[in-house]
Amino acid sequence: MTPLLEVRDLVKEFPIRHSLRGTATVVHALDGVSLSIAPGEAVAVVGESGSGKTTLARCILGLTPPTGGAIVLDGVEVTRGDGRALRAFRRQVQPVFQDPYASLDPRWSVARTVREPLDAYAIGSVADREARVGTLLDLVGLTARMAPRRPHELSGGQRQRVGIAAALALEPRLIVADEPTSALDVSVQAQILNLLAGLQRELGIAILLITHNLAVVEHICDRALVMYLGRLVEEAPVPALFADPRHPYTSALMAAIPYPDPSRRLPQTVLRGEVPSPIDPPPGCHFHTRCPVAIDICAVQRPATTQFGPAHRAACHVAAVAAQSTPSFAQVPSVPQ
Amino acid sequence: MRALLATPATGRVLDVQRLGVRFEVQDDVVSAVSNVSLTIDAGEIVGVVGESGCGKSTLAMAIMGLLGSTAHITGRVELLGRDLAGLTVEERRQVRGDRMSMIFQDPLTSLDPAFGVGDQVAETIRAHRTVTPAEARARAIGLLESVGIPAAATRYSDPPHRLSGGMRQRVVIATALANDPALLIADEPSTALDVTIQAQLLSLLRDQRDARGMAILLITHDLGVVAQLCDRVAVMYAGQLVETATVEQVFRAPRHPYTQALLAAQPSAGLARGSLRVIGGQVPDLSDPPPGCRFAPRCPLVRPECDSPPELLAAQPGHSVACWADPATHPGAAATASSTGAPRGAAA
Amino acid sequence: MTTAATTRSAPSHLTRLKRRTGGGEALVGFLLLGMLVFIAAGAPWIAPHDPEAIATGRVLGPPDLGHLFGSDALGRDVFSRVLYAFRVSLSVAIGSVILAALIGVPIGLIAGYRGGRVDAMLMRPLDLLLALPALLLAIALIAIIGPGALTVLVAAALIYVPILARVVRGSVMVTKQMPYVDAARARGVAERSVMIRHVLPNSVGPALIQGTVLMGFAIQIEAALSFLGLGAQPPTPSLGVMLSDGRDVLTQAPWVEIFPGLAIAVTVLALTLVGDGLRRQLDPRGMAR
Repeated sequence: MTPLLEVRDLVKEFPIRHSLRGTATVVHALDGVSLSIAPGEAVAVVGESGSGKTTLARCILGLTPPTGGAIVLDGVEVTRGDGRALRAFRRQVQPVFQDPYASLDPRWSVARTVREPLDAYAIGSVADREARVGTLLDLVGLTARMAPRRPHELSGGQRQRVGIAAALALEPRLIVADEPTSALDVSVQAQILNLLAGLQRELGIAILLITHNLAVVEHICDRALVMYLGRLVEEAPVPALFADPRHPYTSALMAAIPYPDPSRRLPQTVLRGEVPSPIDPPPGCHFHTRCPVAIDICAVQRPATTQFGPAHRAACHVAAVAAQSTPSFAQVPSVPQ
Repeated sequence: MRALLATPATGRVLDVQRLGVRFEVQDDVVSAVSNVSLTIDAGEIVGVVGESGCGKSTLAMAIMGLLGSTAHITGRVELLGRDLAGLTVEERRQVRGDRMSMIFQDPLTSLDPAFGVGDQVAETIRAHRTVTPAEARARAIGLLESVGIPAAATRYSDPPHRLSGGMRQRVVIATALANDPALLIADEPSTALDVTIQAQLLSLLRDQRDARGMAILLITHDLGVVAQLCDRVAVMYAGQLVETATVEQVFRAPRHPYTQALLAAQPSAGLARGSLRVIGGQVPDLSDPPPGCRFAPRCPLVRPECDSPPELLAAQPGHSVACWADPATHPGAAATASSTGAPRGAAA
Repeated sequence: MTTAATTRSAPSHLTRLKRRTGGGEALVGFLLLGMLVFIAAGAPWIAPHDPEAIATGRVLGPPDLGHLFGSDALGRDVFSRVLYAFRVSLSVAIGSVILAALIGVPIGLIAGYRGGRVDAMLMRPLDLLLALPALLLAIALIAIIGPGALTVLVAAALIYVPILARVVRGSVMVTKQMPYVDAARARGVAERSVMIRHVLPNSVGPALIQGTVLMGFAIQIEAALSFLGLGAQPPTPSLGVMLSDGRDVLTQAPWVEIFPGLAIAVTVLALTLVGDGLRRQLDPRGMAR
């Protein structure tokens, strides 16, 4: 079946002008990212600072134009579409943002915020829209009493629900949620995640969940993609990713999760070093400077993507070699898990 | 001052007794912290865990003496046996940064953007010791290296924005440890950091504790961090302590319904996929809290006794809980949902 | 979310009013300003005497019951003159800021929101205007158009346009980064709507505050120019003119100088208090919540 959304070799570079040095440098935020989302699928994009995951979300939402590559919705390329194509695209792809305190206009009532997308596309009569606002609030678990309230009268969890209600207004086919629960308390996170999972199941909306928290991924996503410094390093169905991570960075990410279980202490060294700057990323495989199993070729050549199982791919020289290892390759260290 | 508060090799470093903090905000009085008692010995890491608004940061600030004049503090805070309330303003200044220090969540705003990082470490040293600038610099470089900043001498003059978040937090830790404090208070020190950097930072804190033998009070909302770093845990809800225990006790056999609910709501990897447990209702308004147990409106085990405040009582050695439904502290209480039991309140 | 308060008293009306206006001082400022505007508007009815009525018998007469502020060198009632002059000054002050806002705010909004070349194109000429010394600019304008209260209004407005534009531009540049702006764009709202309905309302705060400050200045500019004889021309009364006239008779009849001066000071004070209150009102509300 045609994927709902396809991202092909997306590249995004931000120029920076050094006022003193006069030279222009470039932040390589995205360096050839490709992914696809099937209708109704929940996909996670996981990464830390500098991974480019937020830039990816912004490109997909049309908030930032990519420097290269293509974004394809339902088989139609929309990357450099004109205003009309962009408007049509936006009806299908809606955002949920991270900061519940800043993602709602502080002067607008809840009802007005949720109604805004309907107003923007002039859907139905005003009465129809009001009715729809009521339905949407109900869908996200808010009562009609909330409708006239302003954001400052609501809790973080409630504000996030308002954001989700607004995202649902146009009946989109894909919701791009950028760290939707990072700013919330754990108990409220659970509610919002359950809500998103429920909406995906009942309305068949696809979800692209951007997060740095691998633990959250397991609860609502079918597939996960791991990013590092602008590149996709691994992609797999969630159970496979957790059971059998192929890329050393994925393993490190998982090893770094602090479990609420005192008997599972973090290893002394999970991952050494810092994330390199996206202005000057390391040559070859971007991760090689911190990688516990890097070999010579890693510093020179960008790894190709290898298939490791149905829908399980990773871009790692060592993993590729280990996968085809025969007994004579015994000296290649296996990827730690 | 040092003579007064010499660090013992072992023994009680911090003794907080029935601490209460009230704020006057326009017409209301907000009871942010109520009746909190806890102790920390040398070499111990004690975590205070709770969600936002539970008062844990206010608690930390009250202990440090950083709250403004709008705060009314009751109770006693003793550092190394000395009542901090009895000190003059100048004496308290001398204690801060020397015998006890604090690090905060956001490393960017904790450091002055106009100065080199090395200078800021040196500044703390010179505020409390008489040393020459050269000595202070040398010590600062040593400290920066000990917290894992490579090539510290070259980076001495780098302004904070040249460093990554993790590096900045290390600098902040270096500043806090500069004068070998007996107590380090860390308020959400790794919350703003990436998870792999967080892992490094937690390792660092543990190593420093091992090397220096200081006590650490860790404030956090992340139960995972608590499990990784702490020896003992105090769970806070709406300004009060609901449970204190060793870290094993809290995670293996939590006794308070709030603690249990909090643990069940953690989305930790490895658990089966499915709905996460949620806690119905909302945190109470602290300007008008429930008269009895503050968790009662949301508690599945609520019963008539909950109208009066429960005391924190020992259920087992080292494990105390404040709950009328707990069978160990209130024998005869059946730990099942009472007939009035369903949690009330709208979704959060 | 809030439960019924049984243990604390409901806030008194005064407290609520204080809260709404951003503090006790601001409340005083608002009341004062309100009173002054009322007086200015009602001058024809409040003034006991014709401000132009010359009464040689009462030259430099001290303040008494019939002439609250005394009489000036021509026997005219200072109190009535102050009332009428006040009308002129207040109109110039408020009018200049409103005119400046009508021009400056849209410029600042578009420049801040669009950025890049549009920003440069819009702000360069304004920067030029800003670089010219205000009073000289005003005098030059007066030389071209001719003196009078209206000219002063236009001159002050001209001086204020770049100031207000800059303030709005700065505010807009911050507001446009907010996620709710991105949210509106991503939800398909047209850019113009986003600018007017989301960015503008959330950016005017600092401009409002600046506006009150500028009004205070305008009073003083008007007074200064009139003092120099370049502002309101006779027979239009003006606080500045009165200050100028009063200088000559300062030792004999200080009231001729003092009361107009006091009127200026009180107005500026009121405006400053209002500005402070607005600042307190807009800031903590935004930050604390």
